[in-house]
Amino acid sequence: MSGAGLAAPEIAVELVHRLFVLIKAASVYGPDNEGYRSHSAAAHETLDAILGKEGAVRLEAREERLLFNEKPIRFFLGDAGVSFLTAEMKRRGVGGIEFRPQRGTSQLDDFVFAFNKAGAPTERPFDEFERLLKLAGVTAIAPYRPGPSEEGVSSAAAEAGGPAGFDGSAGGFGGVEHSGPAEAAGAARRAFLHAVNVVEDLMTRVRDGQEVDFEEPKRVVQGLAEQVISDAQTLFELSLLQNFDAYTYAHCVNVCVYSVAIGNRLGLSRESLSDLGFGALFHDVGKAKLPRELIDKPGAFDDREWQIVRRHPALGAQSLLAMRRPLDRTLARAISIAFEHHLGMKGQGYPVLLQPRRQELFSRICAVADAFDAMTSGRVYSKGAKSPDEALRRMVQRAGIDFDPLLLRLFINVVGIFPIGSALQLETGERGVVARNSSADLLHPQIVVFADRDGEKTRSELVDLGRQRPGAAESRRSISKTLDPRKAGIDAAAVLRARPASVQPPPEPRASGSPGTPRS
Amino acid sequence: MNELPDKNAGLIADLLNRLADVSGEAVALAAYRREADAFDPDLSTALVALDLLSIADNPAGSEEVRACLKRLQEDFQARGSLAAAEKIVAALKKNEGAERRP
Repeated sequence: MSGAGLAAPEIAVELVHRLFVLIKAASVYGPDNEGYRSHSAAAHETLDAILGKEGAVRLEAREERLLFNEKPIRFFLGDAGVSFLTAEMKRRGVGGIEFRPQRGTSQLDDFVFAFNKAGAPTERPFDEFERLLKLAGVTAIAPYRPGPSEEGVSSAAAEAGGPAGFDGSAGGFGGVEHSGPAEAAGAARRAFLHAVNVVEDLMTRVRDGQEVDFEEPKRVVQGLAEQVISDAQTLFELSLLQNFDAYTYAHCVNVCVYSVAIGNRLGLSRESLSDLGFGALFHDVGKAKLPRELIDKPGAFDDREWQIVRRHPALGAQSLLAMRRPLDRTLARAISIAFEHHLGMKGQGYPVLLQPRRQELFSRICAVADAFDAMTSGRVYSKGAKSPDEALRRMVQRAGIDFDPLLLRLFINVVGIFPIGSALQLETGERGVVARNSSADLLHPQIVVFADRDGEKTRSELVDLGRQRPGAAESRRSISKTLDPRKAGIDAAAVLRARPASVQPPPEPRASGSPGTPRS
Repeated sequence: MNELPDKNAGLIADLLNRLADVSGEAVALAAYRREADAFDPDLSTALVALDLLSIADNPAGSEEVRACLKRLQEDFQARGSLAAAEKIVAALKKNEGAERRP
């Protein structure tokens, strides 16, 4: 394999990204749509530049990597393009794609639409893809079958029906394998509840001035991290929709889950993810030193009470510092997070320091996770829970002030634009609640449709807005607007509990034609 | 008001979608990973402890933090983490000097 040790040029990364965006756009828009055309122009420009420089190029999926003319393309974990392309190529039985210089009209658009059409399950996906390309007159872009070592991987992916959940990226932990979704959800729930109990125990010990055993919290964090890596969405659902009596303890677990998810997407090492999760689990340990009646107070705090509550970062750091144990990296991280998570990007938060300084990276991560959970959980002393999408909008307004802008962007990438539990109205007038997101297509989540266009409750239906049949204009559903669940009387958790087990297959198109442009 | 009119919902969703695309941020994200790897536990803890000392608002709290700092200083010196130890010594001296002043 010539040049396998060298990385592919940067423009190869751009090509993969352009292809990814174009394929997604083609699954939503028709070829004449303005949005599609702008993506197409950008992809053409990149491809032309590559072909002009390199001549013919081969893009090949090998194991979980993409190779560009035999050279591995270096990706970072935040890029959804590589996982999408490798999975979709495998699903079509494609080992690689050769792009050859062409004269006259470009064939890239025809290739992309044929690629999407070939995505329907079939016994011989590669043959079907070749047939569609031939029908479209595409000769300059040719797929080829995988090499012998990849055959097994491809067929397994094809049998599985496509790409895995979006958090399948390796972050150092092994992830968890389950025989089915119900078992996976059960395991996630058990891990979550166990974590809440462990937090309750350690907070109680800190309050009583007893020694705290760090081994169990470390095991808890490892379990949660494995869940986050194998199926973060299930944990997000628990974090967003479970109503725990012990809010403070559940909040610590939620912040741990979100923090680890951000860290995983950032590409942190196993050791760092573990330390981040541990610190996040302890971030509010100082609240154990506050009067119980204050923490459980149902109404808003007055100024004096706020002054007391704002002491919890310092109290937390002090409690951890006072523990008679060797100061290692894990404990140092926890001390730093406990002290800094409310400092703010510009030192405008609390504690108020005589010499303001920058928050450490893990404290900045924890600040994002903490604020999102505090807003969506409707902690007892706030004005009530915000819907998840509303919380994100408010956080974006505070980017650069309370939150690191890039980490906030990563977080949106992780939880989605319409996080789980968001209530939506569709163009069809139907109402639904977001059940799952895919980072490959944040605008088109999987939703549970539970009310028809007249607002009447119907038998709930699980619909994947990102996997609707191209061309079926009359059956297409797209998001019209977000709804305030409280005003609309929607119990998102109840809707999700009553959802069917599997996605409803899209109806057969009754007429051909380009789909309309979604409004969101 | 949480609920958004159709047009605004679409605009905000597009904006968030663009924000969430971090494919052009490889360099910045790599810098964040380097920041994570460069974390110095001793220096970080020393900084937090010094901040705690500077914001302590009562003698008992101040004394408790000073006790922690002295223990940290001994630990740091024992394992050769001199930069962190020196920071603590300097801060303790400054703090004691400030407390002695009327």
